[in-house]
Amino acid sequence: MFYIVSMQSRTNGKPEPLGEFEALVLMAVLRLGSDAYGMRIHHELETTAGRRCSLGALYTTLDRLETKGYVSSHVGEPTSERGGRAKKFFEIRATGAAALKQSYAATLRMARGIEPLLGGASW
Amino acid sequence: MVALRQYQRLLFTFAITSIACGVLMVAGNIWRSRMHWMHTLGFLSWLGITAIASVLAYRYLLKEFIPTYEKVEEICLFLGARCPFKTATTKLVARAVVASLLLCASAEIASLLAGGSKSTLLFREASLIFEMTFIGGAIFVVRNLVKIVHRTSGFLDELESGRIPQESTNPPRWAKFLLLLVPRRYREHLIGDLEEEYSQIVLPEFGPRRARLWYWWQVLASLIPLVWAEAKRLAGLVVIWKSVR
Repeated sequence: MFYIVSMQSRTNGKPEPLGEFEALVLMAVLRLGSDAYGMRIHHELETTAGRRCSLGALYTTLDRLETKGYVSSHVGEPTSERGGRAKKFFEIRATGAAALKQSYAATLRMARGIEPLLGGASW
Repeated sequence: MVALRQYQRLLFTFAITSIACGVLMVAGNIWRSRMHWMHTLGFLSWLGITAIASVLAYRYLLKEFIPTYEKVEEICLFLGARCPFKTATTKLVARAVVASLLLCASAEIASLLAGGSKSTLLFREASLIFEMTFIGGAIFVVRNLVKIVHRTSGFLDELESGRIPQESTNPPRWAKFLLLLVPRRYREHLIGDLEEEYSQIVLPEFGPRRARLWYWWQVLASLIPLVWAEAKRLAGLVVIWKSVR
């Protein structure tokens, strides 16, 4: 049911708004480019955004983003440092980029004029 | 090595005689009116046994054991190996020894206060409980001390045979077992990511102990959203199935 409603909202033109964590994950996928897989995204979120999360939470978010059509994935080759397990690489799609752009623009619009209240532009 | 084995034997003997004395004290306390001598006998015997065991341990065994202890610690420091003494068990045993002694002393004070007077039922009960705890404490302490002595002799054996016992750097086995609960479509990638982050980032940065804790936390924290998402998906499927039928 949720899937049908979300598909309808996307076909109306505007992409579905992103949650805060979804936006961060999409940004991490964008930053990492072709090297975006679970562990790297997790590490990027922790070091750059200072956002601690479990790998399980990250995977459910990535799964949701994939269902919405914002990212696509493909399975890589198994490697020895992962105990012979394959990596799952993620790539942002055009709809995902549009959703991220829209979310970022909305944040910027809302933030305009309130920088002094938040302690200057340094944040 | 001989000293360690003797020390172990002494500990066993001390444990068994201590427990026997404890039982005597408890029995004397229960049938206080008729057999108070049992309580006194138990306590005095225990004091005597402790004194003899301490003298024996110091004169014949600890004199050899302490240099061995120091030697092992030095070797561990030099090799960067896991020291068998520096464990949580050692600290726990030390605390339990102190607690046991305090409890025993409290039991005696309580039973002294209880002597003769009619309004001393509470003290008698308290002293009984303390003595029971003392027996439990004695068993616990000795079991752990024996474990430490065992570990030390095993460590020395391994050193003699030329192997250096290192702290395990593998992820915790039970946590990995729990990962079987992760839905199959995520499992392989998630376990791979966990192992890679564990071995390449967390283990070199924080050491084996904290890395294992990190692994446990990741597994437990990952299971909740994944299992919840799967449950919601299955619930959705059930609703669709019911509406279609």
